[in-house]
Parts: sequence; C-alpha cells; structure tokens
Amino acid sequence: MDAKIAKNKIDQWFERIRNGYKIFAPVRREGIVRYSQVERFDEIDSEALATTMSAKDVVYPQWRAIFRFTEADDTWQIESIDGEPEYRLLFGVRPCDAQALKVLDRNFIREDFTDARYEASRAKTAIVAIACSKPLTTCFCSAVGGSPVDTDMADIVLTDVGDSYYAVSKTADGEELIKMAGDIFVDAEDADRDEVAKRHQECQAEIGQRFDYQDLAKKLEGAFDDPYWRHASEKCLNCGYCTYTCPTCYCFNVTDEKHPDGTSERLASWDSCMFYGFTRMAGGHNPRNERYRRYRQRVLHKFKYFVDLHGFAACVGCGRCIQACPVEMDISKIVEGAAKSSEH
Amino acid sequence: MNDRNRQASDIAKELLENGQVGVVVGYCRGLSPASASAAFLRQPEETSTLIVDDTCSQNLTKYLLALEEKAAIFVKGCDSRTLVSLIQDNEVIRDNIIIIGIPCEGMLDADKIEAKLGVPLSEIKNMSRSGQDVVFEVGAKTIDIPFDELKMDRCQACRFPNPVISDRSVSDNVTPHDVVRLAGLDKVDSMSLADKRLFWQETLDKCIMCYACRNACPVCVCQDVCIMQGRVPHWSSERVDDREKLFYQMTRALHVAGRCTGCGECERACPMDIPLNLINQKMVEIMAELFDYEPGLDPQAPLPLSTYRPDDPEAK
Repeated sequence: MDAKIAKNKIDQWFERIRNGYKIFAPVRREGIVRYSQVERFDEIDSEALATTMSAKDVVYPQWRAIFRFTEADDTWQIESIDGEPEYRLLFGVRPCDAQALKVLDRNFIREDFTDARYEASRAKTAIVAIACSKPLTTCFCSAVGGSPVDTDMADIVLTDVGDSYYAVSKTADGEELIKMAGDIFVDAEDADRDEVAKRHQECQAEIGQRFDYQDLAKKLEGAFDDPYWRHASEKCLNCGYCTYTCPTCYCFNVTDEKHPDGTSERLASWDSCMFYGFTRMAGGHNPRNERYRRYRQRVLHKFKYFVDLHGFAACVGCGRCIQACPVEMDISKIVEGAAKSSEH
Repeated sequence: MNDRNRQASDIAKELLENGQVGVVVGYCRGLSPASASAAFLRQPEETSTLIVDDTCSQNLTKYLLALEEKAAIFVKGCDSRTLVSLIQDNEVIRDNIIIIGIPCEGMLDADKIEAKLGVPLSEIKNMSRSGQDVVFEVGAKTIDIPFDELKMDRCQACRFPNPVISDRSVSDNVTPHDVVRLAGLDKVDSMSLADKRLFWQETLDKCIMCYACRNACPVCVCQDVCIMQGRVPHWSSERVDDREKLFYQMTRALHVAGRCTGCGECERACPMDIPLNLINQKMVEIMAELFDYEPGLDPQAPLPLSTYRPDDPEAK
C-alpha cells in the first residue's frame, strides 16, 4: 500500500511507535553522523548520505559477550547471557544501507548454522528507508545490483516530496506500521505518485551505472595472480576503518578474557581483514602477511568470491569507505582496474 | 602549470632517469580538486602528475617503512621532522633516501572545508585561489572562503615551516610566521585533573578503536607486533569501552613520546574527528620541559627515552 505523511506529523508517528520500538536514526553531532536513539524528528539528519558509521552496529554490535564462565573446582560453570533483544525501528537508512542487511543475513542466518542472537535481533528490527534524491559522486549502488530509490529489505520506503514523505509499504510489518498510525498518514494521490516517479527517475539518471557486478565478477577470474594489486594498494595504511564503516563487513574475532574477579567472558568483536593478524595462525604463519594480499582479499571477497558463492555482491555501493579513507583508496575504481588488468 | 609542480616533476624525473632512486613518493591530485593522494612513481613519464600545493596535508614518511627500493620522498617541514625521528630510530637509512623539501605556508583542513561547504570533498567541482581566498565550485554555486579559516590547526601552531633536512627543494624557504599555541591546549591545560579525565572520556566516546591513528602514524613502527594486537599476553580487552579507549590512547601517546613531533597525521586520519593532536602536542611540550629535547631536529641526537644519561636530571 502507499500513503503520505507530513514531515511535521512524524513526531506524532514516533510517539505512537515509541511504546513498542526504540527508534534509531542518523544523528549529526560535531560533524559526525551516527545512528543513535532518538525521540523526535528534529534530532535526525534526514539528508545525510554515507553516514560516518553505518547502521550495522544496531543489529550487529561492535562487541558483545557471548557467555560468561567461572572455574569451579575442576569444571567450568557456564552462564549464558540472557535477555531478549528489544524492538527497534531503524529510521532514515538509505536503500543501500537496507540492502546491506541482505549480506549480513546471508552470513549469520544459514542452513548449516544460525547466530541466534543476530536472528532474534534482526527479527525485532523494523526498517524505514528514505529514497535518495541526489547521489554523491562516490555512490555506486546501481553497479552492484541496487537502486538509490528502492529496496526490498526495508519495511517502508519513504520518498521526500517537499513538506511530506510519500510512503510505500514493502512488507506486512510495514503495512502494519502505517495502519497503526491511523490518520497521521493520509492517502497518496496520483499527483504524489507522479512527483515521486519524476524524482526517482532524476536520481537514477544521475547515478547512472558505473559497471555491472556480474560482468565484473567474471572478468576477475584470473585476478588473484595479477601483479596489479601491489601498486593499486600501495598507499593503503591497512588501518581498518573501511571495514568498520562498511555496512556489509561482518568478520569477527572470538576471544576469551579473564577478569580480576575470577570470572571470564567469551567475546565476539569486529575483526578486519585489513589487520595484520587477520589470518595469522598459531605457530606464526600468516598467508596474508603483506599489505597487498590483504587488500586484494577485501576486494575479491566483495566482488568475486561472494558473487560466485551467493549470487550477489558483498558491497552495496554506499561509498563510505571511499569517503572515509584517510588516503583516498577508491574501491570502485580499484575493482574496475583489477577487472581491466586481468582481462588481458 | 604552477612553479612548484614543475620543480617537483623536474627533480623527480631527473632522479628516476639517472637511476638514483627506484621510486618517488609524492603527491598527485586526489579524488577531489580539494585533496591530494599519495603517489608512488617509478617511471619518469609518470612524474608529470606530481603536485605541490595546500592540499598536500598527508605525511608520506610512513610509506618508507615498507619500501625496499631506494626512494625519493617529498616532505614538508612537519614531515621532515618525523623523518629525522625515523632516522634516529634506524627505521630509515639516511643514505637510502633522497629528501625533496617543500617549504610550507600551511595546509587546508578537509574537515573544515566540509563543515563550511556542507558537502563532502568529493562533491567539489573545482577549487582555486584568489588572493587570500579559496574559491570553491559546488553544484551551481561559487563560494569564497579565506584561507586562514580553512588552515589546519596544527599549521596555525607550526614552528618549523621549512624542512629541517633535505637534499633538494621545490622552492625557496618561507618566512616563519608568528607562532600560536595549538588551539585547545590552553583550555585543556587549565582544567583540573578530574575535569581533564572527564574531557578525555567524553572526547574519546566517539572513538571506535579502528586504529587509523596508529596505522597513519609514521613513528608507530611496531606495526604488526603492536601491543594492541598481542594475544599472549593479552594486554587489552576486545571490549570497546571507556577504559579500553583511554588505555589505548594513553599507551600510544607514551610509546611515541620523544619520537612524535606533533605532525598531526593521527588526527588527520581519525574518521571520528577526535582532536588527537592535543595529546601529542602536549607530549612534545613535556619532552622539552623534562628533557630539554625537541623531537625531530637532529638525526644524530640520541633519543631521550631510550638513552641512559648519567647526567639525567631525574637521576638521583
């Protein structure tokens, strides 16, 4: 179904939602935009693109304790970390950010194993996306199978039409969220739909299509042994920020830590393929000891291996890594360069 | 083509053509007219892409740690002092490098530009200078902003605008300007210890322990065996909380003290805009106070924190 909501009525909608959901949205503070809990629409930076940190940490926190354990005589007493995740509404993600959840879901919810905590958290997260009106020059969602104006991974997709948002429900939950708001939403009219179509078309025309990820994946067949990577990744500092800001990166470390009070925890925390120790093994051997090997891995994982295994790219073209990189590594240009280089 | 660009290209081309170096590490135009990117040039014809201007804020000396070939490197005043620290540490061998100096009158701050324009650097169509102003074209608009409003804080406090060590130079030396203390230091200095702790706790709240600061820092030479990555012993927790952030930042500050010259690359690299250079610049002042030592000036000088001196003022 579709509908329309005036921007000055969003606070009323939030009030209805807040009884059931904690609302997380992009908040600008001292030049940094992160997803934080909000109460009112005016706290939100609804125009922000490629936010400093993605919404990833709302469903997949940077660190968490999996369980606690204590040594007692000759045994271990294990205490699971209980607590149901709360209902959350992610408001103001862009279509690329919503698409990113497809990659995270693919990793954490599988036939052979499901991360119960992630699955429970995900099931209780509603998503209200806002379509883009003007892409950044670093955006390339259309090249990796996405769209700047639509996504099936959201419950509702909003389009800015001036003093209102036009809303389309994409799921039963989305429809429910609109219905429960009663007359805060009004019917959409044909004039609104026409306006939306026009804005969408303009945005799509502007972003164009830099490349086709499936075509690229085929061209990357012989890329592993290509000497291209050494020079392409030479200025990379391997700092890891790209993987932290990335909405699709999901690799994590598992560490056991003992505390002075005698209790221990098993922690799961974000890891990064950019870090030296990512593939370091007990005994010291490290198959990716050199920087270019690690950078090559990041690119081929996102644009080749993941495509081969799962049929879509592990990159949504949000461009955060390009915006944030202290040395201006541009993954979209590098992967195109690699494909071109290994074609010959 | 600007004079300094031409000088840079000419010197680099000459060095590559006569085989004096295998690679030239310099700056080329970045992803935006308002930014520069590190360039690794190995063919003489590539040197025409070299630039020298006020977008060249990155400290390139870190890259010398990974290069095996003999290298030429472009350094501003601040970078040259980091280079001296690296030479003192034997991380860089003086004879293996050719230093091309860039006398500097200050660099543009990417964050300040983005704050004033309200768009990321990538969206700038064109940038030029007009007298004391920087002129930006964004979309259909043209915006003039005085250079002084966009200058990096560390440049306002710069005491060494001319490289302290070099073999060649892209221009004549510049006249050092009046020095102001790094913005923010006075305020933090005036805080009580309790307030300082609160200040850092709040300021570091944004820190996500991505280690961009560590990786960007030229004198963080431990690299792959950094204490933060150790597992046996496991000094730091994988938790990302107030305690771990303070532990990390304080440890790093102490580990680089004496070799850190306050180049500010850590702050430049920080994606969360944390004013890290406050810590480092304060350490530089403390080194002067306790050891009568200014980091990064004399390649022959022994490093104060790794040298035993019988006449150490602290020794009883």
